[in-house]
Amino acid sequence: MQPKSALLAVALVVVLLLASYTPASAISLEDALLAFGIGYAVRVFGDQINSGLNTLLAQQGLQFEGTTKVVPILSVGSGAYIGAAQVAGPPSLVNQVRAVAQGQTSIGDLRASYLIPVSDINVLRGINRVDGVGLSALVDFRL
Amino acid sequence: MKRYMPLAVVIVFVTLAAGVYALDFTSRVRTVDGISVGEVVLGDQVPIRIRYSAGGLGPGERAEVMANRLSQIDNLQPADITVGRVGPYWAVLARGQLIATADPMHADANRTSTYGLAIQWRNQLRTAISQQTGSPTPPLGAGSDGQALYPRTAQKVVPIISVGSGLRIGAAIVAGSSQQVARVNAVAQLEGQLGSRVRLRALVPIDTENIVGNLRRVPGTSVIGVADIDL
Repeated sequence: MQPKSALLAVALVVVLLLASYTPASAISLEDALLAFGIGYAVRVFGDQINSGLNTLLAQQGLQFEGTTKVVPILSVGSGAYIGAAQVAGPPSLVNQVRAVAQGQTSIGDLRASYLIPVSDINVLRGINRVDGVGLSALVDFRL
Repeated sequence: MKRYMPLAVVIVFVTLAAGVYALDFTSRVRTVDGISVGEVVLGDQVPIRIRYSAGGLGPGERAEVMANRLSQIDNLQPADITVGRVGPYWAVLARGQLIATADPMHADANRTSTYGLAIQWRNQLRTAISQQTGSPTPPLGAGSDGQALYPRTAQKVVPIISVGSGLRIGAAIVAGSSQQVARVNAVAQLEGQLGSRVRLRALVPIDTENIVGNLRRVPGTSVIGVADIDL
């Protein structure tokens, strides 16, 4: 292995370790987003985002009667993290949801996205839909 | 004529007694794991068990109210017990009269939704009544109110309306039970911001396109897709 490659590998390992062990309080949502991407930001700050959404809904008296959770949105085509979504439903079902799979289709100028709560984050392997869970909100990230 | 009068009275009385009866629902309070629990009892069955207070009533009082409501209905049959909406909540009804409200605390404790809890209580009541009266329980999947155990589902495309501007900013596909989806007229989008890089968009199925008035969520429905039109 070339010295440069070895250095890169070590740097990558350090970044990954930091991503795994940095406490949430030590890093802001923006920093986490820029440094480690959507997947990490949602994993660490999901509860905070969920709470923000529930407050937004409660201010209008539109809070959901049940359990909510924020999970990443994964593109069905590439498996990449492309955003986050709040899912809502009975606690036992919401707990099974690991992500929302997003598929897209176009008909003329109309672009439609289907959003499916799934129990497996590997959407390239197949879609394991969690029935009985709905989508309550979308979260867009500006990277 | 006078001679047959007592006989006529007896016949009328026996006929009435045979045709009209009320089941003897009772309630009791038990202590389970140090917590006071109210139970609705019919024979040796406990169709409803109440652990939490609501509406200023403790578990025992709630169970007593439910038992009294059930005892006041004559000739109660399993098929008379149904599930329906009472205000914002799912509830168990007997011939359309409120018996028990399925509250979120009991739903969470039973790891189900309030609708699922109402169905569970309905089925337990039907079973208990069936054992007392000998009448068969209605088949799973349909109640006498025509409400399916697993309601028929439907999907619909409705406009997304921004609560801030009132503009139509896209379209959403909503799904849920056919009955509830039919009530959805739009999806209200509420927007918020978390820091400088996170934009929140809550999507709420509502029953009107007039978002200036009170927004009312249509329960039992949710968004399953969004559509944009390239302008």
